[in-house]
Amino acid sequence: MAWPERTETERLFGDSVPSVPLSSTGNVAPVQGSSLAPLAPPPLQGTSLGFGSADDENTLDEPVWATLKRDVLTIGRNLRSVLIPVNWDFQNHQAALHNWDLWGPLIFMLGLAITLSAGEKKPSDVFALVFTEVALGAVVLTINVILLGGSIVFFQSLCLIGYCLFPIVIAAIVCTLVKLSWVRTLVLVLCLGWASFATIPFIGKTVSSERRALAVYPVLLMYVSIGWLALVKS
Amino acid sequence: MGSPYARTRDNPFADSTLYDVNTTYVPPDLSETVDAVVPAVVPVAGAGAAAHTPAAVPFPAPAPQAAAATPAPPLQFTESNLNTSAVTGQIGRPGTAPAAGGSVPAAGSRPATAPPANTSLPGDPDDPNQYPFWNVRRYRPLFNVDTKDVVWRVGSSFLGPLKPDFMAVTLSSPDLYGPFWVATTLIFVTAVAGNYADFIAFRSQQKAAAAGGDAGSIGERQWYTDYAKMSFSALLFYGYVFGLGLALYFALRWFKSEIKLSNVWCIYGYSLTIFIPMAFVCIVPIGWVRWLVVGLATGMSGLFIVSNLKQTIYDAAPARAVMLLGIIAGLHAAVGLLLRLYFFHYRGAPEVTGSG
Repeated sequence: MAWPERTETERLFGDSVPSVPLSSTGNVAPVQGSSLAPLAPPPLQGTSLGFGSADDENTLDEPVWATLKRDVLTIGRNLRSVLIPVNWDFQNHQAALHNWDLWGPLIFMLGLAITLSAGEKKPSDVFALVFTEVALGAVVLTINVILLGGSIVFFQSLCLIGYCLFPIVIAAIVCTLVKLSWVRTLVLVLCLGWASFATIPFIGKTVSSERRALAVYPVLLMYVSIGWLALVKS
Repeated sequence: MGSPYARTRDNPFADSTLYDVNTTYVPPDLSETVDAVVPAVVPVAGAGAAAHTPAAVPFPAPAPQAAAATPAPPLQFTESNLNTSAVTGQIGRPGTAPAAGGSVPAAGSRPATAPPANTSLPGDPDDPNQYPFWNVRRYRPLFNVDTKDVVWRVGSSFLGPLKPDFMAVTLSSPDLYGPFWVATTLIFVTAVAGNYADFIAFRSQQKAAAAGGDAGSIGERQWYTDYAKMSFSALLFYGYVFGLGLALYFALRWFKSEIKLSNVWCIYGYSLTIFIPMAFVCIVPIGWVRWLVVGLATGMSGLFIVSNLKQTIYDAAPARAVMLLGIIAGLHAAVGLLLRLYFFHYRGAPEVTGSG
């Protein structure tokens, strides 16, 4: 998504430039009567820090559908670039991790929890288990990487781990519909492979090479445990 | 009898008359020294910068040489040759020497009997102690292990009593990666294996009921995975490693041992690794096989803990050592028993060939 290139004054004041000419020679102190003179340093523009880097001032007026559509498109774009790590999409891949968002992970986690808890003897227990495991698991995995000496941005990592749940959501839906154990096993193995293929390069590069296995193993453990929950679903 | 201040720093007892118990005490003659003290202070205040010796001497020595106007006082402060740059003030904590930036060999007060696994932080030069306690990075030294270190430690816990050098190697560089992730893996593995073992028993029960022509009381029951096993096993394993480890640490500290909490957690955590393959073997639905395997695993890991803690306990509390080791072994046997009876014992059906 190309953020529109606008000057700071245009961003802050809409399309009308202030009438008071701002002196750039510096020989005039901010005039008392002028309410426009002391401008605060404008926020960084164009560098995406996740939420809030869009033109917030302009999005207040847009219709709800436009907001939803933009978020859905962001989720779709991030999903594609995270789960299909093909080289021709490299630009978007980097951009996706810079434009991290947590809507996608939240939707996938809720979808997973609801799917896995439907039809169980104690659905609330299963829901709580899945929810806790995914949320705590993502946080603990990120902390694990930091403790091993890796450099990682906390929310980027949460975003990535959350998006990589998508294949497991697919596996869970299939496991709900199909009761044959060999079908379940096959689908699960494929989806786990896909999720690992997406996460492992990212996590592996954040720590030094002697510790790569130490950082990657907990990720695999979490995915396998969630996959097992799907496999034994009744 | 010379003035006590004339002693050199090398041997404070050089003037033996001061400490000789057989001489009668003769108070020092202060009539001469009292006047000398006062004028020694004044020229320091007056002479200012001239009286200050160059920065290499940390002790501010009032320079008697500057007091040219006053009679030379008998007080002579020799220049100190104490080197303060090596003083860290924190004994035994690796990586806290101010000048050396993290590569100082650890365990200042404890002689390491084996070279520590890895004492320098991986590539980043900042001292983890600069972070406040709520910052995760402060605890990096506890996770300062490479893959090969973890593999070695896991292997050592498997070999257990055959080669009890775990404590010696990890004394100065314990890690918490192993304990936490082994416990977490074990939680998952026992839940999986326990549920699968129950499922096998359930199936055989179903088949027996169907073959025996039962109307359908058992045959129509549906299998539900027991998710409570996961929460119970989380409580059990985290509680055993971290809770019991903490209690043992307090007990050892009460006996004035110098062991660190992370050492205790490290040993307890790695001792659980042998239960992971044990859990998979216990899926076999034969009663005596399960008992045998659980007994073997509990014995080996218990011996691992005991043989590695033996030295520490004997050092700290020689009189009570046997009792303490007995308690540790007993608690470990209790954990093994709990594993066998809770995770691998299906209450709906008896196991094949006997004892359940």
